[in-house]
Amino acid sequence: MNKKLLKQTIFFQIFRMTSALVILFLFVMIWTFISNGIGVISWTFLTDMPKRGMTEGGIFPAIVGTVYLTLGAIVFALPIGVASAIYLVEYAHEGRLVRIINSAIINLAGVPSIVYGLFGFGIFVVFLNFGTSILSGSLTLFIMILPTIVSASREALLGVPKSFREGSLALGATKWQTIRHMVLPYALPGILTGAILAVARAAGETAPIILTAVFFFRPSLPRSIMDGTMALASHIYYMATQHHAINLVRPLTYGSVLVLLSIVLSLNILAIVIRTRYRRRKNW
Amino acid sequence: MPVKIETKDLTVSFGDVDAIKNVSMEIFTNRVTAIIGPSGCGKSTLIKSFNRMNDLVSNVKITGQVLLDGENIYGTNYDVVTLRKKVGMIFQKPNPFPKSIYDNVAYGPRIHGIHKKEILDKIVEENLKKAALWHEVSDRLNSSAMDLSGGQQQRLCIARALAVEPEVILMDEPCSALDPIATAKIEGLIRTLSRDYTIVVVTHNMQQAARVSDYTAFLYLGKLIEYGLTKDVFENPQNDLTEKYLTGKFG
Amino acid sequence: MNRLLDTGLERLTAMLLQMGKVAEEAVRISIESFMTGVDVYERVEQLSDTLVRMNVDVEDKAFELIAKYQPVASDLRIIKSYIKISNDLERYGRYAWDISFIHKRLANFEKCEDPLAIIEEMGEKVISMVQVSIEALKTHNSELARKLIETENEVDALYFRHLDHSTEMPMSSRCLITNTLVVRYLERIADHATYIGESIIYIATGEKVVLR
Repeated sequence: MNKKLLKQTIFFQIFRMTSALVILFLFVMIWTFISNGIGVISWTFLTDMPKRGMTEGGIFPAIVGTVYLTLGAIVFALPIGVASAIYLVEYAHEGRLVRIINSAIINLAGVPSIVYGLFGFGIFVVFLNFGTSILSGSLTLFIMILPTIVSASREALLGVPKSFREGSLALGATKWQTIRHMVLPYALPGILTGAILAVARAAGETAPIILTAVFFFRPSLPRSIMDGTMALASHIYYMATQHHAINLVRPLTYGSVLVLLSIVLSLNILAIVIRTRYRRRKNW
Repeated sequence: MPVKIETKDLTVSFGDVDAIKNVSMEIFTNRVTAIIGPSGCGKSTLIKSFNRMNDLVSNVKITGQVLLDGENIYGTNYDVVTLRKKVGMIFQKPNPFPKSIYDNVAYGPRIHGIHKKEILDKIVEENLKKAALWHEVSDRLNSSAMDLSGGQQQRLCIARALAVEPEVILMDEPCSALDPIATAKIEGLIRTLSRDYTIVVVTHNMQQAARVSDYTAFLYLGKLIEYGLTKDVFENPQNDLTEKYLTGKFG
Repeated sequence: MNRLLDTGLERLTAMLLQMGKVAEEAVRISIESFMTGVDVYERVEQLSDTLVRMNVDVEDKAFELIAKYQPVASDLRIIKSYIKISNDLERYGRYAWDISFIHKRLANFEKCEDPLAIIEEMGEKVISMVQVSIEALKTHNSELARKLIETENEVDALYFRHLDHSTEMPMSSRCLITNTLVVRYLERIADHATYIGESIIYIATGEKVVLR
């Protein structure tokens, strides 16, 4: 065989193996948590309060807490994120303001999550006196996922062909009519995909909520957004590091991880499904 | 000859570059006016200044006047929405909306507040007929406009533009993406429509300009070099640049 | 830049100039022989037939160029005019043949003395007009083309002088008919030279003039 060709084949195989590694990691991880956690999964585990210092019982308040926190975050993030994306794409002219906003988005996305946690603690918990509450946690997560939502929405808006806007404007539609009828409907799937991915990320974050919203142990459901709560991610963290009988509760920890992982993965799969369906339907 | 659009000393610049320089011309009512010239001569910029589509570009600067029926469309009180209702536009690449054929034509009327189904039905039929598309699509008005051929899409875009009852139709190289047969249909349509509408066609196809237009304007480097009856411009151009461009002796 | 059309136009011009040469010879020898009484009938007939064929060829070539290249502006004016000029050159040949034919048929190459002076002067002028028209064609020279009108007026004057003269002078009907027809043909050749002049002015300036 030709020497060049041999070299190419060798490199090609190396690259192939490294990419296979990625799949391997994912499967090992999923397998570890399934094999260790599946034993404790049951209807009561999902729907019961934790009992006996969290050595027994379920994780229902943690699941509910995670749902509340992420929903709260997205309720704030989606309208604000989409609105600012619309401003950036449709209204703002190239200029200093847009450059500043762009770099703000990039920098905001790069801030470590513990910093968000501290920031949320300082602003929402202490300064605004929301206390350790779902509101404080949601707002903190909202700030954290905002750049993702803005970026995703902006990409989605930019993905709508310019010709739609021109066609609409040339018929005498106003800018808002054009955005409302010819841009947003076609950007929506992309925006939703971004939002779901952001939610998935928010659901898995630990540091921001530990400092702003969650309790180590709270065997009841929150009654309002001003209540603190349990949450899956923080629950796992506490069970694995702070519990007085770490070894004893290990199966429960694995079970919780499995639940969190399922939620996050399902959200990701949902995002993928929306995206592929939308791509298939897209015909311009 | 009644004048529909008149430009007075019109200059359009993007940043430091003048795309149109001191153009003064009159566009006549219910006539087809072709604008020809080499790529980058400002043809598109010129017609886009007739419905203020240039406004969409962020660093555009416009001086001089464009009068529509004697009224300056760049005047402070002039409503762009009204302007674009009166001055429709057809683009280089057919750009139907990814909606049904019906909804494409009904889009404009709906935007302008017509929602009664019977009225919309009538508007859709009437304008598809005017655009010579009705008999090809009358049995599938609810299927997607994206499934039409390129030529049909362009005629749909014409029907869509006609549906808001414009007085002027601007066409920016309307056939450049079409095959010769589709092109011939559009050209025939342009001639038919010129009975009721004032039409301005930008084209880089000189033969097309010769075929469809009553008047021809030759632009070069943003300047109006020659403007006159198409038959005169093509038989006996007065300016040497026009002569060179028409006979392909450029550059 | 050399355009595809240029090759065709060059060919068309070459064909036309070739026609010009043939036509000029036909006119010249038919007139000269009429004055000298030499028989050139067959030669002139040959030249005239050639011109008829070449006229058809020029027309074909011109239509080919129109169909292929859809010429406009000066290109269009050239092709349109070349078709006309080609026809004029063909007429040169035809009238030359007519002169030779009449000369042979009616006069049997004999001379009719009177009013030969007028015919001689006319003949010289007509030959010069034909030459000038072809020269102007070579260079699309509209100045030269405009000069044809003066000679044309002179030829017309001679034509009328001949008409007056022949009605007053006693002469044989053979001579009367022969000379009158020849004078008439010369006058027609001069007209066609003027038409060529008009075409050349149109090519050069786009101006549609009538030089009569």
